[in-house]
Amino acid sequence: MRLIATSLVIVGFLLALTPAQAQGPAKTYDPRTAFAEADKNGDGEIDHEEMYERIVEVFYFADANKDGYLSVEEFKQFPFPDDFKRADTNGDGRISLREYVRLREQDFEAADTDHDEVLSLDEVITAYEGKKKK
Amino acid sequence: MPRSIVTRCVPVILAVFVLSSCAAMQQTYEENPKAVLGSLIGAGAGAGIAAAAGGGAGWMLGGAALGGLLGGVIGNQLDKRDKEMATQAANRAFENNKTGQTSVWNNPDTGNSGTITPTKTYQLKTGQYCRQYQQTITIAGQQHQAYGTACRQPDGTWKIQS
Repeated sequence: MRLIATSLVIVGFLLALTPAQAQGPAKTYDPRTAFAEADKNGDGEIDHEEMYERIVEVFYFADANKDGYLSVEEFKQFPFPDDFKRADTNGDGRISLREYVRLREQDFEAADTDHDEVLSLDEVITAYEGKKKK
Repeated sequence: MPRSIVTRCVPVILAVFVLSSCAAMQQTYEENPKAVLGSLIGAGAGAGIAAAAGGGAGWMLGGAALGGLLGGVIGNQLDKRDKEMATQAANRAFENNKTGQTSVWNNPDTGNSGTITPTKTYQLKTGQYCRQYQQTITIAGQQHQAYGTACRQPDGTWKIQS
């Protein structure tokens, strides 16, 4: 249960995290603004394709040295740096894009509480607010 | 046929599969080398414009980007400063812009201007980053538009792929 709750929150933060913020420690989050940025077609929902594009872009801007991987230091830009261990499935001490996508897609599934394969703004805000209360 | 013409023709043929007659091109090339290379579609031709113009490495991105747009037409109508500004705008956009964020250049001396906007970011299996983009260039009030892909090189420069 705790894992699910944490996952829900992570999605909220992922959507809230803008690439510009990813270049430094994130201080403020606006899930509504971030949701709008991720919702490329403006239909009020985040589908898997939009989520994937968002993930890749966040990864690109977080990868400061552009070596194609996220180091522990680079991962500290994210609100939940402890996710590093969870993401580093092959244990090589760095996060590939494939690992990062897998991590966030798991979060997507957990956040999609009505199982309609898209995230609504309510689902994202619920996840975000849930973390704030912790 | 001068050796320099041969060395220019062969790679272009292999690269773009478009050439009706190397001899015909030679004649035109002698009249206007930039126009010939630029008229061969694709980024490779655009890069050729930059090389033919004597540009260094810094020109390659701009040349390739412009070639991806309209090749010889743009190559002939933009001056050196235009190309520098277009190159700088492209570099900024590819490296720093979020998807959908536009970089603009405008040369008041010529009245020419342009925009470049990343539209999608992805990563190759090698770890290399690439970005699709949309580009416009406005010359004498007429806007030209094109799409392409640029990939980040190990040295931090961006190379137009298509």
